[in-house]
Amino acid sequence: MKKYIKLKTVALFLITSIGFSSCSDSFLDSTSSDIVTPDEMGNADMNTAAKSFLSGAYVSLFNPDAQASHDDFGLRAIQLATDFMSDDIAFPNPGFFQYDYKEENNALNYRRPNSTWTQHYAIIAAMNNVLTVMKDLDINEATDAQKQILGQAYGLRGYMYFVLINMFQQPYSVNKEAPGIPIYTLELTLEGRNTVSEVYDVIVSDLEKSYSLLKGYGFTKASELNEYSVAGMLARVYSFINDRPNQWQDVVNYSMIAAQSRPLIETKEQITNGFNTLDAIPEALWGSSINSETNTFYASFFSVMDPYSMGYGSMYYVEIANALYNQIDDNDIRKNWFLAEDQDFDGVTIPKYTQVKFIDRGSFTSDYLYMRSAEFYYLAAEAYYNMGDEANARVALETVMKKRINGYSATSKTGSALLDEIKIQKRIELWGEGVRLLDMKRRGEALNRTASTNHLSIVVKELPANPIPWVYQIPNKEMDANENITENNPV
Amino acid sequence: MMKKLLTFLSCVLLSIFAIQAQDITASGVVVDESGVELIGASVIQKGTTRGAVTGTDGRFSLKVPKGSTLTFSMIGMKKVELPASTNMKVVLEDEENILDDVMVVAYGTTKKSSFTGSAGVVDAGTIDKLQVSSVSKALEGTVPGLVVASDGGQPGSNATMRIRGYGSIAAGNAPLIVLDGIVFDGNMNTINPQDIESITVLKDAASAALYGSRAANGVILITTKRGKEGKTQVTLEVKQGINVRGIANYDVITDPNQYMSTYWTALYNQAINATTPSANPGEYASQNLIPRLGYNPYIGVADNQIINSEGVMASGLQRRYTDDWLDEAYRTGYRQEYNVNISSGSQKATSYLSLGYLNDKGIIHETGFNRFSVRENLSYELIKGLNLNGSVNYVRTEQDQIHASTNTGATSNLFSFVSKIAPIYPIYQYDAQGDLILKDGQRQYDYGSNRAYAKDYNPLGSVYSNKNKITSDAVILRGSASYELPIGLTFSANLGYDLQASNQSVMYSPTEGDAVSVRGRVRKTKIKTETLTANQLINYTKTFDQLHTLSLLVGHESYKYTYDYFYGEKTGMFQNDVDEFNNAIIMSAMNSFVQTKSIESYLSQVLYDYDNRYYFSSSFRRDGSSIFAKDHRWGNFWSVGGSWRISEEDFFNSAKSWMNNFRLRLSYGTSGNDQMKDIDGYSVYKPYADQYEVVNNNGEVALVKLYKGNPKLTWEKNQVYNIGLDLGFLNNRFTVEFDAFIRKTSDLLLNYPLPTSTGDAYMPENLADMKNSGIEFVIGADIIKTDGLRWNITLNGSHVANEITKLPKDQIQLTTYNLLRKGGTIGDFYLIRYAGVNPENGESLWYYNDKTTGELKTTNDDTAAQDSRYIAGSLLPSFTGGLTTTLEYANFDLSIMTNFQIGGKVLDTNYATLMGGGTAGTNWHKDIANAWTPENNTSNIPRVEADNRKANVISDRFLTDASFLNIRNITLGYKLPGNLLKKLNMSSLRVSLSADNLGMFTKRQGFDPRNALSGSVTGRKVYSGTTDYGYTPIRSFSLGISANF
Repeated sequence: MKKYIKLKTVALFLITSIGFSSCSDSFLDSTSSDIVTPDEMGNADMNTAAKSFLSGAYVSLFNPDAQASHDDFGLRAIQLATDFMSDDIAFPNPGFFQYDYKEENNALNYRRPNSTWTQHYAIIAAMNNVLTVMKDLDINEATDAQKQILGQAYGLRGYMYFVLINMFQQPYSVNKEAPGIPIYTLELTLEGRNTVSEVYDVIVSDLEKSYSLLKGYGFTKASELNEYSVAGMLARVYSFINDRPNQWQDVVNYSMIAAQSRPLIETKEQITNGFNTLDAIPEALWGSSINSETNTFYASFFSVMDPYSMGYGSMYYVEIANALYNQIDDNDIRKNWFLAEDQDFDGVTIPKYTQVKFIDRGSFTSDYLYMRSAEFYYLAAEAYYNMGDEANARVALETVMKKRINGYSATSKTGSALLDEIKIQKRIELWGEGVRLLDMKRRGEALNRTASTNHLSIVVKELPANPIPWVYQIPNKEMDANENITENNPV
Repeated sequence: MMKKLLTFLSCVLLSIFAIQAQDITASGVVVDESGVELIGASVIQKGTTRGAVTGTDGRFSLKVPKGSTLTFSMIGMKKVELPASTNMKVVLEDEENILDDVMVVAYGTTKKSSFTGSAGVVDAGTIDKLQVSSVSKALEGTVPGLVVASDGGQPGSNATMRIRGYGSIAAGNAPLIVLDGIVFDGNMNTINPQDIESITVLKDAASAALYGSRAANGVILITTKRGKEGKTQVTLEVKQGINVRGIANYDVITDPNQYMSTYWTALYNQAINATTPSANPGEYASQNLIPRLGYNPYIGVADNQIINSEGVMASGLQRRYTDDWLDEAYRTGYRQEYNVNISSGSQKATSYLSLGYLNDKGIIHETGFNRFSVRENLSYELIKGLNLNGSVNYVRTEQDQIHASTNTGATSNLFSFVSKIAPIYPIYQYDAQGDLILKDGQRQYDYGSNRAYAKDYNPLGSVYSNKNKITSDAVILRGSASYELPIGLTFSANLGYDLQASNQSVMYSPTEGDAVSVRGRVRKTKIKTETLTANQLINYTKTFDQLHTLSLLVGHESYKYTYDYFYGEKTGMFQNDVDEFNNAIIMSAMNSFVQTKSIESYLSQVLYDYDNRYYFSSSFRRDGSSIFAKDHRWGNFWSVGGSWRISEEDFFNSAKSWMNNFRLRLSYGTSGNDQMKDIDGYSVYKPYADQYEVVNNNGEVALVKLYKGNPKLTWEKNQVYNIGLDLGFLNNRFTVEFDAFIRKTSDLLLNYPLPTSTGDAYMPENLADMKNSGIEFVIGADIIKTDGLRWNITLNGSHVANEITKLPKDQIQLTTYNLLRKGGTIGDFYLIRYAGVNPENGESLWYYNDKTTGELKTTNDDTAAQDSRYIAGSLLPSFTGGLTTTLEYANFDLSIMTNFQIGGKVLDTNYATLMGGGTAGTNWHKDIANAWTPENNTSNIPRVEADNRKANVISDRFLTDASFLNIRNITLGYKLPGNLLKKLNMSSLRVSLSADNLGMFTKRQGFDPRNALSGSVTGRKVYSGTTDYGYTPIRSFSLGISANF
């Protein structure tokens, strides 16, 4: 009996050992529920998959997968870098972004060219994913939701190419045949340096498709592209294409669509609320909604900018170049964006001219703003002026400026004085919003920091129009892995 | 699954309570030819595994059935067989040949003489001497061809192990660990080193091929102690010791005045060399000095008066504080270890029970490692021929870490922080007069909200205000049942189940440090890993005509590994020191997932030997792995080997008087590798598929691509050719083991870099081939061998040459500084070439090839030199080895273990960071005193210049010779003499004094080339080739007592 029990035990043991080993087919399938593979998306319909890829790109815009440093937070960091390169920011005690400020961050082995390149192309690839998922869709049978997804995908892809071509080559007007950047669409894979104009062909085609797909759906929320923000993009893009027939008329048309789509900021409260919450910015056309789960803490825009936060902005104060500050009218509500006097705060002295336009709403969870409607009144004004229509230029300018200065009038400004007024008011309006450098490149303006006295004394004060430092080198990683690119930009 | 587990457990438990016996007791004494009592001679009942060992008086006693035969043996002595009786006197004669040790091999054991492959064995004695909390660290310098980098000093951390160089690039390079016959995926630190009987390192494919797909990087077999038949033996071991810093810091500036004046010069040089030079550079430097640094470290001197515009320092400067970061960071840690084990056994059953406790305090406050372990190993013969074996091991570990331990790159890394912070900042808060600012009578840590270096961090304060603890419960179970038929046929089934549940709790203080902005942060990581392995084996062994021995093995094995992960994070704490989610309000992360991997295998082996002279072995294994897509899943692996004991041939007899052993071994085998890793070194479970991460876009599901998969991916294959020689001279007084091998890897798993413009950084591919060829040797010599005095030296060494033999294109830039090219090595550095300093102005210069003329020219623009990068050296050393010597005199023994490396280069990026042009608040290496100045214009170090990134651009300037010599361990022991022991009623008592990591000699103080092998303490990268700041290695001193009753 005893022996029988023992044998039974052993038998059980052997059976257990063998039982586990039963070789079913599924035994040899890995599990990895941390991620989703395309096979596992089988249960998601086309819309859900496409929408999820698109949504993922919106997150990557501010929380990029390849984040490399605390001065790297996606599109807003790249925008901010361009502001540091231009003439309106003074950075007397420079921290992160000092090399952009010093005009020496364009070489192939530096972080900025690399993050600009990698992050924009990652979003282009994601948009190609969306378009691939939807490629069999007959556009005539597309639902509203499908059209909006497609429209946003084209819009975002086109805009990414627009930023890239302008950071990795001189503007269109300088030489449209200059070697540009690789192009990836569903139809084309051109890994070499396609010319600037070839890249613009893709940009225009994408954005026009986007606009026509989105047209009629109106504005829902700023964190997704819509017909108005895409119109704004088209206005920016056309302002670069100097050989386009009726160039400025197109710029006017799209500018006004974007400008009039959103109510203008009216009050001092609205203009001084920190630009940290998309829903609280009436003019917001496009931005990123951020929360405590998706934010990037110290490595964020508000960490760099906000002098009251625990971030870098409270140590390396970001100031307005005082020559520009001095041109802000005393009655201009925008003057509140900068400290008029030194300010004591928590035992330290925040210097005069420090920006308080961008103030964190707490714990670095603030939203990012990429585009707002006011910009397009200025762009429309410039376009009207370039068409020789000063009257309408004045109207466009006054529309926005009346909301900034009570009783503002541009009647007295004519000719180049009017153009200068448009330019200076745009610089004040869009300080720190990533617009200035593109304008300087497009217009061929030279850098001149000599009039401001609060710059770091040894910073570069002057650069000629379209200088070498404003064109990034194609990063090392791309040069090493891409056999189709042999020539790089000068440094 | 649960049911299976229960069944298994009941099997193990049932067999525990079944020890029984009733027979005669054989007893007696074992002596050598001169009548001296032999200690530790083994007495075994012939035909069984039952046995005993003689005590210090040479006596033994053993219960055996009447009429059995006893086999007496001892290393260096001829075996004797006698019928069992009481009061025996057994004389053992010296043997010429000690080859017949039994060693543990794949799926069994073998006589060393019949082993055809290449392996190294480390015994319990070696492991006992070291004060290691992970057994991986005990192997450093012990086996030729096994490189062990134990660069991390965090108590409880594991070392990185590599056998015969790097066989892989993107796949894992870590050897397979097998614990008591079953693959072990757990943490090495859960194995109590005291429980280990032996470790076998299988290096060539013939010995490892039975592990097939998993053996490409070699196999480490760990065997735990088992009970021995005979008198119950109790062993008690106590070790008490201290831990101190093992490697000095880099020689950085410690004098604040020197730092201030150097930084002033850096600002001055910045002013005169800027694109817009300053009109008054001296004024610029004096005015900007303190605003840049953020702190005035002196009392009563205006910020701009510390150094005047002429560069002259104010006289009589009085320091506001004299805190020393480097000094305060470290402490002396206390280490205590207790082990008890009881070995007992009868004819039918044996038992080994052990209890162990280790408390190992680190050299940083609040860091340490606790381990409590209990193990029971049982063997039981149920009925004749039917044997059960089981072991149960429970281990509880608690590891207190600091954030630095795991995040080498971060600002919060304590080791990096204290090395790099300028000596001008205080640890504590001081007022303008230099008095401590106290709160409730306590000093307040200064987190430096305005400090130019690492704002809002103070790792010395965070050690106390933050928490980081990993507790882990591990259960390791082994069970086997085997039934042997008299005809030589054995059936066996083995099960192994390893479970480890770890829980990491991390808290960042809401009141101090960088988490203040989110009011504190709590993180929890719970990881449960399970490995279930089952195999069924049939073995047939038969000897024919007393000359031919044939052994056949066939079997089936299945393996499943499960990784169950949970991670959560909340911010907004209420209580300051409670690291629980219930104490926090805002959820910032919540992740969980399960990953599994499975392998199914069919295996077979044929062994044949003829007359103990000729040996032949072959094996075949077919593996299917879940890592690859269905069509690419299965791989076949096989091996053949042979050996010839030439010294046993008749024609050799004349030489036997001086050369007692001469054996030749030859083998060839294949193995595979499926440990696919991503670019950061994490395992990828579905490398055949594109992978997306689900993220939250404000309440909408969003997918972000993480990984580009390759459906065609398959096994990386390894072929190893091995030839070995074993020689013994003058009755084994001098021995030589020599191996030469070629290890060819094909279809190398490679994370092939893609142009980033495609949106993907890389894709896994089977693209390249590689060859490692090398030699290994162990030379042992008993230099003095007299009755009283014995002196032995063992030298082991290995040389491996690595070559990339096939690549899909001329060269692949693997990482920023590492290039793969055909004909090159896997560790090649591809760097710009430093050309020294321009004596005119102190700028760095680099060489470049002029594109038109091809001339070698110099430039001050490092980006222009990028096209002229060259192979500046290789990480791989020319030679690695270990030298061990033991001296025994009377009852004293002394042993010294060293290990060393000759050749190889490491990019000392730590040093490069300390040689910058001047980053506000970051310290300099003292070498900066020799930087270029107009007066010192022949220096090779460029001028200091604040924020100039070109001052320390990574080039071959920072490539440093990685040769080192490490004094691994010195142990002095004393054994109490026999007469004293009798009085104490003990069978042995040994007292020892031991020191680990006594000296590490490298090219530069603070430079530890070993950490370039592992990449970082987390061991994520294949290798980095660069230095970083992990938990600095520790030096331990300890006093140990080991008693046997």
